[in-house]
Amino acid sequence: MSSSIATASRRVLPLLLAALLLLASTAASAHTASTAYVEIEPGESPALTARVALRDLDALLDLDADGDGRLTWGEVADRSADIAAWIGRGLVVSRGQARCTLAAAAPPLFVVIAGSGYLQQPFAALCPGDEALNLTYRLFEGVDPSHRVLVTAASPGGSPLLLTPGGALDLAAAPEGFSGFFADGVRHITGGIDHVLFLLALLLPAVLRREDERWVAVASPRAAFISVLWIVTAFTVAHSITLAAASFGWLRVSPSIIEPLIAVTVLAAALNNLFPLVQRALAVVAFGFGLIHGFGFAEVLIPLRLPPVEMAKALLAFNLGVEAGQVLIVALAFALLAAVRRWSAYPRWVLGGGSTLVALVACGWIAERVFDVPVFG
Amino acid sequence: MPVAAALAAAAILTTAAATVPVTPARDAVVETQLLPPSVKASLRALAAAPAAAAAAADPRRLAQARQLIEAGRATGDPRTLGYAAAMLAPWPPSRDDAPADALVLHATIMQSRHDFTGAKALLDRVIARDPRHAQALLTRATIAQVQGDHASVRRDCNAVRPASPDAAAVCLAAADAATGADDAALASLAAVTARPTPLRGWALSIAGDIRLQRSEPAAAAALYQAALREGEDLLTRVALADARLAQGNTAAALAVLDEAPATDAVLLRRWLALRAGAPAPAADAVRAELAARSAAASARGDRPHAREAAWFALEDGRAAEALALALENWRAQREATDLWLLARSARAAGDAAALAEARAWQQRTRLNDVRLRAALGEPR
Repeated sequence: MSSSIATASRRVLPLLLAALLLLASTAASAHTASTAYVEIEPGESPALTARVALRDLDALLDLDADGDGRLTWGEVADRSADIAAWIGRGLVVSRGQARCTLAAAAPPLFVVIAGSGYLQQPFAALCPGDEALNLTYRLFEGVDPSHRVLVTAASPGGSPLLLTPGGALDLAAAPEGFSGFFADGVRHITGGIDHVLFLLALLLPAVLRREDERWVAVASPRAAFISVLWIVTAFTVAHSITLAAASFGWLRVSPSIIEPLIAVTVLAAALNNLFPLVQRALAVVAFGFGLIHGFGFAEVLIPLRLPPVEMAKALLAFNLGVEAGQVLIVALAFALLAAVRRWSAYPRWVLGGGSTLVALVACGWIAERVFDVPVFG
Repeated sequence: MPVAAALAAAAILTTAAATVPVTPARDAVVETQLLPPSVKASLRALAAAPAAAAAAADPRRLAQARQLIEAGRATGDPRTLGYAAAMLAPWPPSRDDAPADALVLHATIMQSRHDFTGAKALLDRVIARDPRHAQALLTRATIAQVQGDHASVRRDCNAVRPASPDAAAVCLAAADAATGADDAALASLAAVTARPTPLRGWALSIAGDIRLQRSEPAAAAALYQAALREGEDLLTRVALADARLAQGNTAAALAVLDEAPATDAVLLRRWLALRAGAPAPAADAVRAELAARSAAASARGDRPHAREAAWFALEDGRAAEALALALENWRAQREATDLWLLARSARAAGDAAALAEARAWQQRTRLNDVRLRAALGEPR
């Protein structure tokens, strides 16, 4: 191996200020920096889970009772009340102007994050009222300005938010209620380019029919529309089934399997346009592939871990949002395709070119999702 | 057996694989890398008296900030830099009347976080006020050295001479070694280390770097060991591991890092050493931890240290990513190792333009680096 070379560099600088002390120069690439994690499940009685590095807790609360430079779980557990109280003081959750009381909901657990030991402490927040929640983060304030907390609020598709000590977060922003989940459903389908391309690949040949191994335009858009309706309905029914099954936890397939499979369905739909294999039973194919896409939609709702009734409501709203977005896409695409169906170059350029493009993109996704290599940057 | 020991140290938490929350046994060790008691003590003082209350800017806070920065250097733990910054809160760098020493400490923290521009701006202010502030001059010289601005290094090193001729000599030797005068640099470092001086460890480690650059790993290792006898220093320890790896002695490399805190730099060397010798699962566990840390760092919005990240990607066979990181790193810092990484990544990725850039820099500075010549595909 030719791997063995110096880190060279920026050695120590003598500190001539007071005494001749050696002082750091650069290269602090080091342990992971101080990072805490907070998960919030809003609702009538909000639940919080805090994860704080044991090294940070020891630094401020001196957990190492025997002073041997190592922490045992016993040393941590003996101080669990102090620890929970300290974390509870630093997580200021309020509803409107009223501060919630946090109470440890269970004994702490131990978890490893990026090689560092963490304490995980669940809290129940007591807050009367129905105003929006907000969080002010006061842990490590005035002690470590480089500390960060990643806050995950139970919002569909919401990415964790980063706060510095003293930072605040308005949890009203988290989509809640029917309209929130509905809007999320619309966003998910219209923003989910893989679902859109799949629908498009199914629609491209819908305004044509095969005659003597050749494509010809259908006479009336009405007949074409009915076949599209069948296809879209089959896709919808199928993805609703798996979306529900996965969201309620009855059936779970790992995203690492589903995501590449979704790309495969896009590729198959595009290839079928180029080398027609299935023509009459397109609705059946749409149903089968719809089952796969439903698992993909479910990845938005699963992390919320909502109680069953809440999940049912969220599911209904989210699914209606998906369907609304889908109707929008299909209506626009169909109107456009129906208008140009008699163009002599349609079979070659719109159907052939479009499907080739979709197939290429799908191949890229498959490579990305199977081999985990960036194809589209 | 050092391999087993290193494994145990690296994997004390990861083998438990507690990536899902568990309740460990009472006697289970859950964290081995705690902050030193002295740091904990000053931290509790800080928590008890927040900056707002410290209107009487207590000069003891300066000394404590300095100790925290030194602790960060010894433990490689970046959070001590955060504590040091909190210690300095009564003297924000924006204030015109901030004492020079506080500004220099702020600059040291910034430099340690690779904010070279911010650090240099603060040091410029201090030196404008006091052109003979030795620490400010030396710190600014270090930044210029990292950035490959060797004329500025020489100017600042020379300005330190009245305060400390030895410090000026070591400072200049680093610049000489980066511009083809490595023989002269070794001679002047030998003159410094021949006498008892508090700078001996620093001078020895610079000499070790030059030997490593010349592909003389055995001589480099001896110098680093001598430097460590002058005082423990994590960067020197990592450099010693590099010298052992260059000798092909992976067991010795692991032994050197046995007790070292698990910084990214330490983990990277452990991985390189384990990969070369031990069974694959051991190396894979360390590799997985490096990857997990990189993910955790970007989740909290940190840019990874591009040098270590490029090195990891390069050794991990991700050539395109390695080159992108090596180029990013090269825009920020231009020392021999940075150039060597750029050349190797450019070669691995088959990028002629980047390779030409590396070659042009070598020719302009006349840097004598044997490792680099191999990376550039030139005869030794």
